[in-house]
Parts: sequence; C-alpha cells; structure tokens
Amino acid sequence: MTLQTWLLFALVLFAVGLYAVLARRNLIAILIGVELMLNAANINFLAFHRFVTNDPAVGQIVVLFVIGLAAAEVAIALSIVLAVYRERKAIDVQDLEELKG
Amino acid sequence: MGSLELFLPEATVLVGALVAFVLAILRVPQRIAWGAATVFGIASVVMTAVYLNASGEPFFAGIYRVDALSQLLKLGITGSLALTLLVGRDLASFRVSTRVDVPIFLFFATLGMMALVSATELLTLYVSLELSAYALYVIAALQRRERMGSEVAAKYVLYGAAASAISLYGISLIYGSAGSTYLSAIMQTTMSPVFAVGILLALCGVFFKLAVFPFHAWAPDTYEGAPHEAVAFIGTASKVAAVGLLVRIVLFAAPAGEAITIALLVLSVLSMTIGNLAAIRQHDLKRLLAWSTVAHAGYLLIGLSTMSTVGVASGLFYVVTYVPIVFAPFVVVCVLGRDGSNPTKASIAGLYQRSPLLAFTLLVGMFGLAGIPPTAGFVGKWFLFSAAIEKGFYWLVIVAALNATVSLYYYLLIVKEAYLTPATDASEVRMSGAAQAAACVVVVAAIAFGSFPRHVWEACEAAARAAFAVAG
Repeated sequence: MTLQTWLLFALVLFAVGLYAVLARRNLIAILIGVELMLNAANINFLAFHRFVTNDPAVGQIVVLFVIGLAAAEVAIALSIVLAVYRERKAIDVQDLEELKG
Repeated sequence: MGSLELFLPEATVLVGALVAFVLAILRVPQRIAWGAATVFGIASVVMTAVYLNASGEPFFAGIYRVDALSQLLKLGITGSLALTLLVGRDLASFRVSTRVDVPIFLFFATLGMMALVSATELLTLYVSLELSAYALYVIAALQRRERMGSEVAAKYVLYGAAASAISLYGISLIYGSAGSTYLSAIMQTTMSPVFAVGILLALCGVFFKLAVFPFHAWAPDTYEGAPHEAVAFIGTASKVAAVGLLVRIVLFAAPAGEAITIALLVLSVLSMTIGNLAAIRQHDLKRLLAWSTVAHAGYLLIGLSTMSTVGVASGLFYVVTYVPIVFAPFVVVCVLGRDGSNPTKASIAGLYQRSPLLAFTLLVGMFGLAGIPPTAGFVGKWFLFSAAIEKGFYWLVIVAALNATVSLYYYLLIVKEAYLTPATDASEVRMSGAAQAAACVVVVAAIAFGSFPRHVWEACEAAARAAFAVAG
C-alpha cells in the first residue's frame, strides 16, 4: 500500500460523505455523511503520518482527538434530531419548513 | 514554558463557566445565576483589558500564542459576552427550565473562541473551534417555542458539522503537505496544489462562522428562530473569533497567496451583493440582521484579501468596531422581544415615542451598519476601501460602494419606522437597568470609535504587525 492508495481511499470516502450531506433528505443520513467526512480526514492524517512526517506521534494524536470530538458532536446532533422527532414525528429535511432559508 | 499569568483572561472565563455550572446544579434562582455570570463576564473584560499589551507563550512553545492580535480580538469576544449577559437578565426567549444553564454555554463558547484566536497549532485550533461551536449549537436549540427551536438547531448543527468536517479534511491536507501541525513550520512550506486545496477547504469552517456566501444558508433561519440573546452572541463574538482564525490562516497560507486572494475576492463580491439584495425584502428585524451579516462578511473579506498589513488592520478595525454597532439593534431585539416574539418593521413603528433611548440605540446601530458618520461604520468602510485602492482593486471598491448605497435603503427604512411612523401601541417600553447600561455602552462605543478612531486603529495596526511577525 502506498500513500496514494490511502489518499485516494480517503478522497472517495470524503466524496461519498459530501454526497450524503448534499443529497440525502434524512437528518440521520446527513449526520452519517458528516461522520464519513470526518473519518476520511482521519485516514488522511494517519496516511500522512505513516508516509510523510518524521514525527513519532502527532498524526495519531490528532486522530484520537477527532474521534473524541466526533462523539461529542454526534451526541449533540442526535439529541437535537430527537427533539425534532418528538415535535413532529418526522426527521426529513422537507418537514423542516417552518422557516424558509 | 512562558508565564502562566498570560492565561488569566481565559482563566477568568473558565472559572466563570465552572461557577455557573455549580449554580445551575444547585438550581439557584435565575436572578442569582445571572448576577454571578454578569460579574464574571465583566471581570473577563477587565482582565483582557489589563493584559491587552501582553505577549508571549503561556504553554508549550509554538502552540498557544498571546500577542497584540489575540488580545485585541479577545477584548471583542469578552465584550460581546458581557453585553449579552447585561441585556439577557431575563433570558426571556429561552425555555424556562433551561434559563439557569444558559450562562454555562455562553462561558464555554467564549473560552473556545478565546483559545481559537490564540491557537497557532492545527490541533489546538480545531479543538477550540469545536469547543466554541458545540456550546453555540446547544444554546441555539433552547428557544421558548420548542417546535421552532428544534428545527433551527437541527439546521444549524448539521450545517456546522458539515462545514467543520470539510475544514478538518482541509487541515489534514495542510498537515500532509507541510509535515507538521505548527503554523510556524507550515509557513515555510513550498507551494503545492494540495496545499492550496487544503487551505481553501480549511477556510470553509471560517466561512461558515462568518456566514460568507456559499455557507450562509444557516444564518437567516438561525437568526430568526434561535433565542434573541443566543443570536446576539453568535452575531458578535463568533464573528470576531472567525476573523482571528481567518487572519492566521490567510497569513500562513502565504505560499498559496495568489489562489487564496482570488477566492476571497470572488466570495467577498458575492456575499455583499447577495446579502444586501436579500436584506431589502425582509420584514423580520432578526432576518434582516442575518442578511446584513452576510453582506458585512463580504466587506470584511475585502481587507483580508489584500494580505497587506494595512488591509489586515482595516479588517480587524472593521470587526472590532462591528461588535458595538451590530449589538445595538440586538439590544432592541432583546428588549422588544421579551415575550419571545421577533420584532418586525411593524412592531418597531413609533419606537421613538415608546422609548427614546431604545430608538436612539437602534438609530446608531443602523447608521453604523449603513456606514454613516460619525459612527464607526463609516470609518471602518473608509479604511477597508482605502486598503483595497492601495492594492489597485478599483473595481472591488466600486462594487462595494454600490452595495453600501443599496444597503442605505433598508437600514434607513428601519430608522424611518422607528422615528417617523406613529406608534400603533403607545405603551412605554420597560428596560431593566442592565439593558439600559448595555444600550449606553454600545451607543457611546459606536460613536466614540467613529469620532476618535486613532487609538483603536493603532491597536489594530499593532495587531496586524504582530500577526505578520509570526508569519516572519
């Protein structure tokens, strides 16, 4: 496995995540898309850490932090999605029409 | 290791957050929680002012930098916090059961933003960006009308999470092409396409916070639906912090200078044009302010796209003086919207008869946003435009000046409603002493910064020089 393989893998993962965010209408699906994008970044960090830098730890530490932050983010986002569901028994973007962005 | 003393302003905010947390657990009456929070909010402003000229590194070298840039922006951030707490005595637009908890999130968001403007290492930067964002997601959700609150928060958190994920991907590319997470090392990188793409993606998080054009979609809904005090805080402190981050990124992006400048110029023109055109049609005062924010983010980018000391200084001047100017209409929103409703053009009619102080605050705010002397808005635009002319961006100045003229229309329309239209409901508006104090502070600051800009301008110039000094 070379650096390019990993970067390409991460790029595909990122693109899938971005597509989910832009195209899916379900709030949970959008959240999953965001998670995919974060993990694409994580893979990038690890690949660069392994193949490019001389530093013994930085890339791995960054990834550990990102995993922790992502968990916190999902906790907040899911609780808000749950609040939306309790209010209107639906979690589709179409149902969020009280306000017109 | 530098001196830990430099961390005192942040430490004040941290202690404030912990005190607010304990008071919330003890379920003290809201008035007491508010009083304690306000004391700590004002103390943090005083602390920041004391350490305004400090510089050094309180922690490990190269990670957290206290310099003229960070301290100036921290003053803007803590100032926003104190003003928000002053007008937010009742926190009337928040759900009743959550009112005691709100100061905790305000303090943690402030702490994140203060760390953000000082961070000079990618991981520190990302963690503080997220710390401030998470707290804001939560307070945006606590709207009294639950149906609207959850919808607004869902939009805000999902846009925010997506923008920060794109940002992180960009940061990973920067890390890859520089081989280090320290900004000082990144600035030595040789230019490569991967690096330029990384910078542009990393900027997405900043653009989201500033509500720059392709990332502005959350702003009108969040401004309309989130609690008034939360919006006032998001609309001021968050912008200041984002500008700090933008300055750091733009400066260490110097190897990719050309591409970044073009991107910033295009986004600047699009943001101000779209923001101003959309603002004309708004009747809800908060929605109007949201679109006006988009337009002002466009003006701000003019200064930063020049990448010169004068340009960066003028951008800093603009955002620091923007705090009192944009807070003025938010004082009106918080006071008039005490029943949880949003003030509209109709409900501010004849405000002059109902509360002269409030009407005057609104007048100063609108003059400031429109850029009419003697408010700071005029001087700020003057500095921005002259920095752009110095760089030869004549067409940009023409577009910006046309935009400023368009914006005059809807800002002055608000003033006309408040002063010339007779009130339908002539009852006097009651203002708490704290809200009156906040109104006086923003009015005096907006006019003083505009009439005597020299000291602020010198501070901004020093900050810009400090930023460039890191860039070596």
